[in-house]
Amino acid sequence: MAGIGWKLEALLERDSLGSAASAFLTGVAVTSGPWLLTTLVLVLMRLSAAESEITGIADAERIVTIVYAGVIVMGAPADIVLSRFAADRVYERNCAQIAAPLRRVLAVCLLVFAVAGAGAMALCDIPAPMALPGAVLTAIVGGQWLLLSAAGGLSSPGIILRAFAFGAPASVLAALALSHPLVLGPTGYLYGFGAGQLVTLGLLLWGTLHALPSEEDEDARILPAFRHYWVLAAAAFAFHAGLWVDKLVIYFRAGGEVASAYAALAAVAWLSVVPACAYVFVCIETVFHRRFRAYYRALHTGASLHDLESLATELQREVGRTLRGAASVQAGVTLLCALLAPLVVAKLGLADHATTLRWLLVGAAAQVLALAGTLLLYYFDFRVEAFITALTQLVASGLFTFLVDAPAVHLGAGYAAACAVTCAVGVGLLRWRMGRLLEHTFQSQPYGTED
Amino acid sequence: MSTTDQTDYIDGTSGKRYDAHVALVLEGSYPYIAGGVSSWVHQLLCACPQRRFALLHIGPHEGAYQKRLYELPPNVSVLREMHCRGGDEHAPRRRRRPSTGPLRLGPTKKPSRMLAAFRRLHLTDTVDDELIADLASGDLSVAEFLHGDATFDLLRRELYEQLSPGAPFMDFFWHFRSMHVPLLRLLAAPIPDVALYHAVATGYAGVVGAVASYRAGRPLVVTEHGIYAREREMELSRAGWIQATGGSTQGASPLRRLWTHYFRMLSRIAYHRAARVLTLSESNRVKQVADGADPAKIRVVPNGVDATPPPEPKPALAPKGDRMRVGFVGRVVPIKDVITLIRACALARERVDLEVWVVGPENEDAAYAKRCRGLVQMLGLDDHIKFLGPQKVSEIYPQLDVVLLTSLSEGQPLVILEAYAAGVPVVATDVGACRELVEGRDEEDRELGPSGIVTRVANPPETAMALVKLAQDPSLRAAMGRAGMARVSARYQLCQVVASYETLYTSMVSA
Repeated sequence: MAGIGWKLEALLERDSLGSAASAFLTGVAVTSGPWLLTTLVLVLMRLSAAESEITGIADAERIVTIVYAGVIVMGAPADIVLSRFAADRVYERNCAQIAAPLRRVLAVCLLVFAVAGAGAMALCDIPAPMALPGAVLTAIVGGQWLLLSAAGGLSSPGIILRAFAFGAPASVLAALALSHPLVLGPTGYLYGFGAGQLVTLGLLLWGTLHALPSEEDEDARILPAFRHYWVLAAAAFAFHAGLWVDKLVIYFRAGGEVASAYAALAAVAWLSVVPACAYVFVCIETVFHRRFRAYYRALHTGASLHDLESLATELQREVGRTLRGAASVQAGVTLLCALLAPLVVAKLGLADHATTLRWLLVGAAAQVLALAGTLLLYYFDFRVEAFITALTQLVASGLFTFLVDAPAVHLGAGYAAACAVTCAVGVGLLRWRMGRLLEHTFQSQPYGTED
Repeated sequence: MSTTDQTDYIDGTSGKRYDAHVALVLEGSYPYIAGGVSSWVHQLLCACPQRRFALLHIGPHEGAYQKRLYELPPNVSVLREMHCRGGDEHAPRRRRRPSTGPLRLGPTKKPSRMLAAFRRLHLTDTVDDELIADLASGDLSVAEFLHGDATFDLLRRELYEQLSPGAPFMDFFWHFRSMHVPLLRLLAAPIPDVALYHAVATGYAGVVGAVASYRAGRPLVVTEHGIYAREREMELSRAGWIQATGGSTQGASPLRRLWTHYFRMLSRIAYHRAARVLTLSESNRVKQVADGADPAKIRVVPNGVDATPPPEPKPALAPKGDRMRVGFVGRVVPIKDVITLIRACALARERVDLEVWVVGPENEDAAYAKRCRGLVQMLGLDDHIKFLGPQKVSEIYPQLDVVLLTSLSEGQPLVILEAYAAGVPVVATDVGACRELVEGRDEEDRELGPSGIVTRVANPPETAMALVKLAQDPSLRAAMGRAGMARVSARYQLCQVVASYETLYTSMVSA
């Protein structure tokens, strides 16, 4: 991320409105590009399908939802470990060790997700003509998110954006073309969408392998990274499971129709965090990163205790500034979105759910702050605290949704309460850790080298 | 930690069952490292066959010493290894780590006494029973020390500010850890139950002896050959791993001062707890007193060699103009300053013909030995200075004309006594007891005449002059050889040393 950080710094240093906007738009593209494009594709396809009145398209949409939910949750541990593995090798200037493990993990991932996808289709009683493309789509999306993580670890946002920029329209066009009643209908929707995602996967693979050196270390192993980063893997699983658990609870307690509306509104609400994500990204990659480097560089360049304390204090303040800035941005966006909620729900054909959308907007606002806190915890390698935050989201979201939302009276209120609790936990842990940054920096150092 | 051949020893007077009678606490010496201290220990063990000994050997880490250089006599019932570093303290242990505030241990919620002792080690100059009791409390684990908040608070709030404000904090932090982790590990190690603890150095060995003595309520005897704190100070002054800068505008760097004070305090702990402090020479006694030892506790017991019956005086081997054979017998390590020896021989060779034998192991500091060999090669002296490695010294001395010792620090070198026993004069630097060994301890001793020449430390021209003088005057060499032989016969007999220690052991145990 250092490369993108310098670019952002250069943009911000121009000190003009246009350059600042460019910096934040870059932040939007990098942090939210892939899922924004994916969401856009799904929304566009839904709207187009609704206009063309293809029967059975809802089943295809449900399969896509199942695929994404399953892949994102189940693949999260491997994705985060691969990302860290790649980032570590880049840091060590040992990129030759990335390609071979990446290929092996990708092969395993495609196989496992194909089998898991087939299993999920069978469990959901999906008929065979749709189960087949459903299983294939699971494998493709699984591989795609894995490579997304690898490219992230390689600090190559260009690879990601290029792949999704081509893959997204390809998905829309292919899905619409093949889902026409005269072609394949709902099954064609899945094949077309899968084909577009395959294009994304192929471009990601091509870009990632081209970003790596031609020399390869075939003996490189990724398994030790799973042992080393198991807390991160667990945190990633908990975080992503936390994104879906409320939908699952609603599905089982209030039925598929309510759950479908809830999921659609949650996806829309989550769009409101894009500006805050971009803000956090730009802050972390520029001023914060500079202070972060200054602090850790000072440790090894003979800084006195007084200097270190000053730098640690500056870093703590920067963390506070980043969170407060993100909160301000998010508050503005949430307020605006809350005012526009009736219009949005009417457009989506869910006019009765304006209150639900408002609750979900509040929840998303709290969750993005928790996410920012978690990212900062990761930055300082406070893995256990990051895991606690993610686990809080998972447990609270499931529990509060069960207790508050189930009667479908205050749909979204449970999620909002859960996110507020998670935000308090995450930010609280971050504040506590930052208050003892100097102690942690030193006292967590292992002693001895003769292992 | 390894133990060999455990055998109980029952004290004849009290009936108490001990693992051994005397525990010798050793640091980096017998039975793994050759040298004066190791030779002395071996002599003592062999000369006291009726006593059972436990040996507690302090080494840097497991596996540092692979091979014993001495065969243990049968009266050694226990050999226990203690290590300064190990594998159990590496990773932070969150579960053991107190969350906030001063270190709290167990239900009593008392701050660590050991940590309080560490504080005193750095911030005060005095040692008392309370300090030793605190160290003996054992209420601080290595993990708690490394990762506990109380340690960091002490370091940050008190020690750094008072001892080296402005110095690189990272360096201060690691030096602080490096000082105390060995101590914590050593003090946590099991110690055999014996009737008497005998530390054959101060430093870590002295503290281990002092704490073991305190815990068991048994007496401690300390024998110092070289003055530990002074030797460490000398090493520190040359050490590249301590930065000379960092918060210091005058004098030694704060980190060097930190270490120096630390080692002095370790010595003081041993001096304070010891019932008797033994040393080899009057000059050492003066230094010990200056370093805080109670003069009333100190006894001078010089080294001794088995010089009976005295061999025939060695005649001057080479006529004037012929090659004189000079021998260095000892470890090739920096404290012996072999570099000065080589430079001195090179200078002397410009005027007289010399052959130099370097006899002793080179593996203790291989880099230094390599440097010495490189210097010999660079000076073009390969044909004149030969590295013979370890040899049977009793066969070496008769072949030498002069024994040369250029050490930076010594206690009372056995090498000199062994050379005297063989009728070989010495050229030695003015360290430890060398001057009194060469020129005599008192008036009566001085009447025997000089048995060699004393030179200043690290002074190749002066050493070279001494060699030239002896090379050019074989009759002087012969006279000095005779004086040395007379001196060792009169004052440095092994039986005298053994009798002194036997008496001491008996009195200490009965006390």
